[in-house]
Formats: sequence, C-alpha cells, structure tokens
Amino acid sequence: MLSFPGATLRRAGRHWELYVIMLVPLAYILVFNYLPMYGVQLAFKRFSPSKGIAGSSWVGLRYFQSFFASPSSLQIIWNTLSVSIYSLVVGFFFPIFLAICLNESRSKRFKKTAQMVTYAPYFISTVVMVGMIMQALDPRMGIISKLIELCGGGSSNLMGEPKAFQSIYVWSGLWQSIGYSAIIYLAALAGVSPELQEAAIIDGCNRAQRIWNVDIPSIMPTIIIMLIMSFGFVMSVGFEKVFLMQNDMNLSASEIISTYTYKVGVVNANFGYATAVGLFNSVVNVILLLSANGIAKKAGQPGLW
Amino acid sequence: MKSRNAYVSRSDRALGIAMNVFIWFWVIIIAYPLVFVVSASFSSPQAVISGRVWLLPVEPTLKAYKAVFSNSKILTGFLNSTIYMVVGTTISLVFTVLAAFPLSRKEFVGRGFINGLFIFTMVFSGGMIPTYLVVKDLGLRNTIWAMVLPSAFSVWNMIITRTYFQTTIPDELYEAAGIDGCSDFRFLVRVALPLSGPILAVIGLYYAVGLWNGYFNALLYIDSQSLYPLQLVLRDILILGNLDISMMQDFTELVRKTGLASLLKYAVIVVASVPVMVAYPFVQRFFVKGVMVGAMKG
Amino acid sequence: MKRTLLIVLAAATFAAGAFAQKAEWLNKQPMPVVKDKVTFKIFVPQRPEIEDMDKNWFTSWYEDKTNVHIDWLLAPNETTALRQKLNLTIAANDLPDAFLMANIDSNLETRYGVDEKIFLPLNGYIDKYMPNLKAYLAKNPGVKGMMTAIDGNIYGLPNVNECYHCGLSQKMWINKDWLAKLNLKTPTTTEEFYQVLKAFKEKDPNGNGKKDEIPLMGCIDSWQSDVDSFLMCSFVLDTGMQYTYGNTEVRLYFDTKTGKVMSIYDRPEYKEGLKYLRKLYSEGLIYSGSFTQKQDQFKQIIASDPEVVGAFPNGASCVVIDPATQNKLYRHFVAIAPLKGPTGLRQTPYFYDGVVGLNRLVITKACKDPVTLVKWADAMYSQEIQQYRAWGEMGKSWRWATTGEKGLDGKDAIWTNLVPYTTDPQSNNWQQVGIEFQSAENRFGQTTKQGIDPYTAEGLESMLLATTRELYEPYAGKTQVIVPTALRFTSDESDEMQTILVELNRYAVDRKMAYIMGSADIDKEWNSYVKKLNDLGLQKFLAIQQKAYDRQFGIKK
Repeated sequence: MLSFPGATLRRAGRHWELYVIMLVPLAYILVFNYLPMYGVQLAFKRFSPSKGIAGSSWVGLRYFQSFFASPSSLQIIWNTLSVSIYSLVVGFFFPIFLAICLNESRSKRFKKTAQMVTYAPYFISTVVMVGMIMQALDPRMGIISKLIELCGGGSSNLMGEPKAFQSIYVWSGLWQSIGYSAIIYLAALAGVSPELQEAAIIDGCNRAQRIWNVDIPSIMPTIIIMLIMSFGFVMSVGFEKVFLMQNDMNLSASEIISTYTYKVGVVNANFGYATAVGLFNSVVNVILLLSANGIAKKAGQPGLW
Repeated sequence: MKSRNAYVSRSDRALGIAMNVFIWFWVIIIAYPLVFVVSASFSSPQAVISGRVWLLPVEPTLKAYKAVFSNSKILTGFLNSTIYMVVGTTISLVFTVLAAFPLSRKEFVGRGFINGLFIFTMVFSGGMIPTYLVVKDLGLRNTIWAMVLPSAFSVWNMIITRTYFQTTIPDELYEAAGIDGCSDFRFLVRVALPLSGPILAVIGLYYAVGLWNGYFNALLYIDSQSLYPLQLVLRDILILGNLDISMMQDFTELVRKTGLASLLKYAVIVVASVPVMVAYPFVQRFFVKGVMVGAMKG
Repeated sequence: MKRTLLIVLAAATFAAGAFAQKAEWLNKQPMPVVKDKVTFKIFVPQRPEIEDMDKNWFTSWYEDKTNVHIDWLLAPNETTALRQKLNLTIAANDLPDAFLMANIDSNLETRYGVDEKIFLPLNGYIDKYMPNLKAYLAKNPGVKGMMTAIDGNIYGLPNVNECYHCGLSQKMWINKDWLAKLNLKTPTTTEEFYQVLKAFKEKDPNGNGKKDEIPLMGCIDSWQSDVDSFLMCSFVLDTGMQYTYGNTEVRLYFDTKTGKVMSIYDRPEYKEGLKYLRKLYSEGLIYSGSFTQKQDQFKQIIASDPEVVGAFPNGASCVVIDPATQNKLYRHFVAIAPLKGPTGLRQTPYFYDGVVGLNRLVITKACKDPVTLVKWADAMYSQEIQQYRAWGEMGKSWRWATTGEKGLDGKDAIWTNLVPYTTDPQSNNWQQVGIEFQSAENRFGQTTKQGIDPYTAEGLESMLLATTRELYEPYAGKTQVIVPTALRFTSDESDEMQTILVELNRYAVDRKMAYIMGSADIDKEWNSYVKKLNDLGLQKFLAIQQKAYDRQFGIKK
C-alpha cells in the first residue's frame, strides 16, 4: 500500500487528539509494566538483596539448565500444556453455547434468573472450591461417587487417579466459570442487528440457520479475539487450585510448572530460578499468541493487531 | 412472530427445547451446591461436619452470621473492599476507554505499534520484585492506590473494548462526524460513550469482580489491618481449620478453633458473595436486545 | 471480736499463701527498658484470633511497662503467602526492625543471615542484656546449640513451647469398643494388629449386618495422620508427616550405632514394611481414600452412624473427634503403643527438637536500637510476663495459684485460669503472638481439677499426658532417631539439595503408592528402584546431610 510519509504525517496531525487521549494509558503501562521489566535480568543472576538487582552477579543460564535438566521437567511441561489446552477448549466453547441458548430464550425472567445462578459460582474462593470438589468425589459419601456407583462402576477414588486429574480440574473449572464467561458473549449477542435477524426469517431460515448465519458471524470478532488471547495464557496455569488438589497418588499428573517452581524455587527464596522459569513461560506464551494470531489472520479474520 | 409454515416452527421448537434443556442442566448442577452452601451457613457446625446437610438447613441457627457480623475485621474488610471496587472500577474503565478508543480507529497512525506495546505486556512481565519496587518508590505502599493502581489496566479487557468500538462504531460514522467538524474528544464523549452501554457494563463488571475477589495486591503491599480487603480476612479464617504444627499447643483451644472455622466458613462465603451478586441485575439491563440499536437510530 | 480476729488472721494467711509464686518466675528485666519512648517496626503475621493488635489490652499494658511502642506490619497468616511476603520484603530492601513469627527456617537463616548479613547477630546481646533468656539457656544447655547458625552466630531468639505429648506424636488410636465386642486383646505386634484389622472387617463389630467397616483409615493433611508411618516404624523409623516441609521430606533418620544419616527409601527394612502394608491393603484393611482425602472427609466418615472406623493414626484423637460434642464416639478410641515388628523392633520417633522454635524474633540490620529491642523481647522469657501475654490481666483473666491447688501432673499448681479460653477474636491478650515461654512445667502447672475423667473435653490434656507417658515414652527410638530440623546447610548445599529433594520425593512416593496398591511388584522392581533413587541423587543428598550433621553435631558426640 503506497503511503507517502507526508500523507501519513498529515493524518496523524489531523488526529492529534487521539494521541493526547492515549497519553494516560500509555504512561500507565510504561510505569507499571515496562519499567519493571528490568527485573527479567534476575533469570540470569544470583540475586543478593543487599546488592540489589543491578549489583548481583551473572550466572548465565544456570537456572534454565537446572530446570530443564531435572528428570521430570518434560513431564511437568507436558502436564501444564495438556491441562491448559484441555481447559481452553472446554472453557471456550461451552460459555458460547450457553450465551446463545440464553439469548434465544423467550422468557426474560428465566433468562435473567439463569444468568444470575450460573454467574454465582465464580465467587467461591479456590480453597472452598477444592473443598467442595473433594467432598463431591469422596469415595464413600461424595455425590459423584454415588452416581458412578449407580451407573454400575465400582467404588472409585477419583482424586487418586492421575488419569482423572485433568478432567476434574477442567470440568470443575467450567462449572465455576461458565456463567461468568458467557457474559461477554451475551453482551455481544445483544448487539446483533434485529433487522438482519428479521431478514433471515423472511428468507425462510429456521432458528438453527438463523443462529448460524446471523448471530454467530456477528459475534465472530469477539470470539476470535477471545480465542487468540487465550493462547497467550496457556503456560500460565494457576498455582493455587492445582496445589490444593495434589496428593501422593495423582502427582504424576498434577505436578505442573507453577507448583514445581514453588517447591524448588520459592520455598528456598531462589528468585533466579522462579524468574527463569517465568521467563520461559512468557516466551512460550508469546510464541503461541503470535501463532494463533497468524492463523486467524490467514483465515481472514481480524487479528489482535 | 409472523406466519410461518408448520415445518419451520417444529424444528425451531425442537431446538428451543434442546436449548432450554441445556440451560436447565447448568442451572441445576450449579444451583444445588449453592443451595448447599447457603443451607450449611444456616446449619449447626456439627451437622455440617457429620455430613447431615444435603439440601435444607439442619438444626437451623444464626450462630455463624452472628459471629461474622460481630467480627470487626470482617466488617472493615467489607467496607474496604467496597471502596476499592468502586474507585478501582472507575479508574480502570477510564483508562480502558482512553486506550481502546484511539486503537479502534483506522486513522490512528502508529496503531499497530501501540497495539503491540500493549499486547506485549499481557504476556510478558518483569516479575514481582521490580513491580514491588516501583510501587514502593512511588510511595504507594500501604495506601488505597496500591490496591487499585497496579492492576488497574487489563489489556485483555482493553482489547475486548477495542473490538467493540471497532464493530459498533463504524468508520462511516466517524468520518462523517469528522467532516462535520466534530473533534476527536467530542466524538468520544458525545457519540462513542453513549453507544457503549453494553461494553462498559460488561467490562465494568469484570473489573469490579476482579477487584472484589482480589487479595494478591493486599498481600504484597498492605501492612495495616485497617486497609485489609475482605478476601484477605476471609482467607485467614478459612485456613483456621488447617493445622499448623508450629502453632499446635493447647488442644482444647485447637478443637474450638476448628469448630470456629467450620462455623464461619459457609457464612463467610455467602456474605462475601452477596454484594457482587446483588450488583449483577443492575448490569444485566445492558445486555437486553435493542438497547444498542435504539441508540444507533438516535 | 475474737471471731473477727480469726477471720482477719485467716484472710492474712490466705493472702500470704495466695501468691505462692516463686521468685524464679518473676521477670528479671528491669522495667521500663528505655528512658525515652522508642518505636519499632515489626513484621508479624496477622492472627485471626486477635481482633486488633493496636487495640489490645496487653499491647497497651506492655507498652506502658516497657516504654516501647510497636508499629505492626501485618503479613498474611497462610504459609505460602507469608513466605512470599517475607521474601519480597527482604528482596526489596524494605526492612522492618524485626521479623516476628515469620517462619524463618534454617535455610532462610543461612541465606539472609549468614550470606547476606541482613540479620543482626545476637550473641553478645544475650549475655549482656537478656537476664531472663540467659537463665533459661543456663538451665537448658542444648538449646543454644540448636539456635546457632552455620557461622557460629545466633540470628534469632527462640520460642519456647514445650508440649510433652507433641514430642511423641505418632500415635495410633483403636476402637476399644469393638475390641471388647469381638473379645480381642489389644494388639502389640504387627501380626496381631493385622489379625485385629481382619476381625474388624469380617466380624461386623458395628452389628448392622453389613460388612461396611473400615478397619484402618487415615488422611493427608491432619497431624501425623498418614496411615503408613506408624506401622512402618516397626520396620524402620519413619518420621511421617511431621516434617513435610524443609529438608527432611526424604524421610531421613539417624542411626546412632553407625553415626550415619540414612533415608528409609532404600532400606531393605522399608521393603519389608511396604510388603506388610501391601498385605493389609490387598485384603481391604486400609481404606483407599486414606491417601487422598483431607481432614474434612475423614471427620465425616468417622462420625458415621453406625460407627465404621476401627483404627486411625493421629497426634491426638481430639483433632478429628470432638470430645465435647461427640463424646460417646470419642471414648471408644484409645491409643496403642508402637507395635513390635517381625525383627522385634518396637519404636516411635521422639521429636525432641519441637521444644524450641527457631528464629521466632529476628532483628534486621535496619534496627537502630537493638539493645532496647532485645530488652523488650527478654521480658517475655519470664513466667510472669508470659502469663500476662498469653492470658491477660491478672486478677481478671488469671491469678497465681494458691497453696493446695494442684496442676495437671498432680504436683502443686503455678497459676489458675479465671476465664474460659476462647477462640473468638478478642482484645485481651496476645494468645500465641509474640514470644511464647511455655515450659512443660508451666503447662503442667495450670490448676486442674484433680481426678477428672480423662475422656472428657476438660480431661484432654491429662489423657494425652498419661497416654504419652505410659504407651509411647518407653519406646522412644534409641538406635534410630530423627535428624533434627536445626540442621544447618550453606546456601549452595541447600540449592543443590532442593532440586534433588523434590525429584527424589516424587519418585519414591509414586513407587510407594504403586507397591502398596499392588500396581507394581516390589520384589521384581526393588533393585531397579534403588538404582533409580541413586540416579536421582539419593547418595549425593545423603552425603550433604552427613557432612552437615558431622559439622554441627558430630564433635559433641
């Protein structure tokens, strides 16, 4: 696209106000996000509080070596990635379905109440949530165990099954967040032009076709953006919930990067180790984000930028 | 609606039923544990511990709520969290709109670069220590600002807002306004904002909930009890039931402590969730169909 | 007139005998500790049972007495959060005058005290300015050694909380009601225990016609509640969950005969113990949920009606069964002595280092007046101030015992409680905040009704005392003992160990589960299992531990 520098500058000049508007948020991220980035050095230094970050000595890739050389690093990375992607897929599509269903519902009252109910579990703190999960899965008294027995399975201790760990984590996560995550899609659906919808009905579309041809394309930008951004957080599986769900039996599946780093790094005040692993996570996240963005763009969708 | 042939309405109805079933499924599996939590909060701790509470309160008592409301720490925490939520949400919304609006305009030169600047911060961070140092050097430690500023700006939310601005405030409108002599500031305030009801409601809710639920900033930056948010107080109560070997000395006390934790646990969850639950219907109004369109026509 | 005289005389005698406190209990630190008021900033975790440190009776009373004001910097109470805040505070050079109750273990002590010199060495101060603590150390010479860091300095003041029964906390409780119903005698060997469990499973002791009994059950987050450790001790000393943080997660013990630090994980005795556990598990005698469930689920199951649990391990039965509201059930469970294993071994770990908490108060280099601060702390090492600190106002919450009042152990009492202990947030005292100075003598010295039924809530402490004394003390391990947590390492040694530790533990625990549950054959795998342990660094780990042990304790032997 040809664009003479002159024309561009003129355009910028015409919209000088936009820059002023941008000033405040820009200043914010410069101070709170970019300024602290010098701390990334810690991944390569042996931190000594008395010398400060600048004065601490360089140790090169020692912490990275330490992390990757440990026998279980591959399994831990795999555990993290797989649970995260599982979580992403499940946690992504169900809220959209729910939003569409709610949007279609005729009764306003039902729609509002259903929204309120499904939104509520989001406020249950992690500690309590895990307590509820363990209660539900208790081999003797848990409601889920009882259901399994009814369906013919024998007595089960799902919290002890490594294979079950990810599913427990993901589906309980969905239970907790489906209502909350649906909100943004509900708002987007509320903005779908009724004229378009009427046109589709007049054209003879049934409900399913109308949803597919009008509603979904209208909210597609939102969907795509959310999906791409989710890829930027794949490596960042939270610490607390997994830590609370770990036990001797499921450790082969439940040890993820953040819990492992805590045990090796934080307990020991080994900042270098924790920062190095964090840096690794960020790099992978960036790669995934760029890839997702690239794929979306190739598919003709608007990317993140 | 208007007349449709029978074929269309049957498949429509079938789909409609399937959809309602889906909704009902989630409502039930979510409602049941919630009802349990509320019932447990009104039951005696012994009944809860021995697992006798299934749906309705067993040995109903207001003991737990009395204990919660007579605990001044909980009340202070409640007040603080409310203040942080209100102030923080306002600040966050302002920052977010100020960033999302220019980025949504194609005419904004340097858009790609600045977009990248923001997005990079989403995945890349300097870490806890330098951020702590920045907060400390700005003198924000142990003030309300340490609670609302460090996480004031969520790039995620900003991008969603930007997408909204892009799709609902078309370029034609913007250009037309420009030709009419409307400045960017004016456009933002007079045109864009009034059209942004739904997105402001949603993003505002997301920020508000984040602030209400948040405790990490308090953990790092707050030293005095009088500034503690509710969540931090709650966490301390919830872990009361956990055994701390170094603290385990007087057993009579230990037994009572565990009892206290069980007593408070469910009441505390209910009390902590009430404000955000109550806020929801107010925000819900903005998701109603037609709000957006009506504004457009005007 | 005569009567009045008699009454007056009686009152006088009463008054004279009323405050029978000995001189040694009184505070020796001159008060106030400083002429002009001084303020210190102290980092402390926020305890839920204290409503507000600033509006507390003891805070103002002690401030008046010492002339020292404290600005409290609150930190969260929960372990991971507390550790994070502590690390961050130090990393950002945002130092308070002192850290109180900040969980500064020997690892951090080495890093921050020895290496970074952020903590102030207190050696000189104790002798010169701390008469109370000095007296205590003179009476208990071993403590000073435990307090000493790797460079010979003392960086933190200790916490004294002698809990006699906590030192022998690996207890097993058995349903004596069921033993009686089935006419069984209390098991004393591992074989007898097995037979008893079998009987529990098959003979329907709860009488409901169903075989729903759980012979043995544990949980993962209570006190010494893991099912395997108590039984493993009959084969080799297993310290169990007591030390699931810090360096001893690799289940170490010290062999006094060879002078070597060992890990149970590669011992042939451990193999035998695992086979025993496998036998129990395969016959359905150990509840499978024991390895995953938390205390909440445990409590629910044990409270079932009719009763279903035959035996369970725990430091004290009251932790999982409330003696006040579940008294009938509570009475059914009595402790049993450690079992005699197939080789005749009969032992329990003695956690002698639980008496003294390390680094309770640590003074930083940012403190401009350490002399005053140590004096302020020193007063708390006296019985007298301890009473005020833990209980509150004399005359209102407590008083010294009168002659004739007896304590927990039947000897003369020291003090009497006037107000029931409460866990509602209160503003009267500091409960467990600050420096505790609870010697065993003091604990036993609380006026107790004599002859109470030990199986009531009031009789709790006396029950635990008697149980520990009769059933556990005689079997405190002699040839196999614990490796104390006061063991110190250099930062490099710690770093090296930490990675090995996490990996080793994961593998060993994973295999332990497999062998007990039968998904792997222990006999076939044993050699490759030991080899893998060594590949993961077991010998290196033990070598580092041995070096540290010899360095710190070896010479004294």
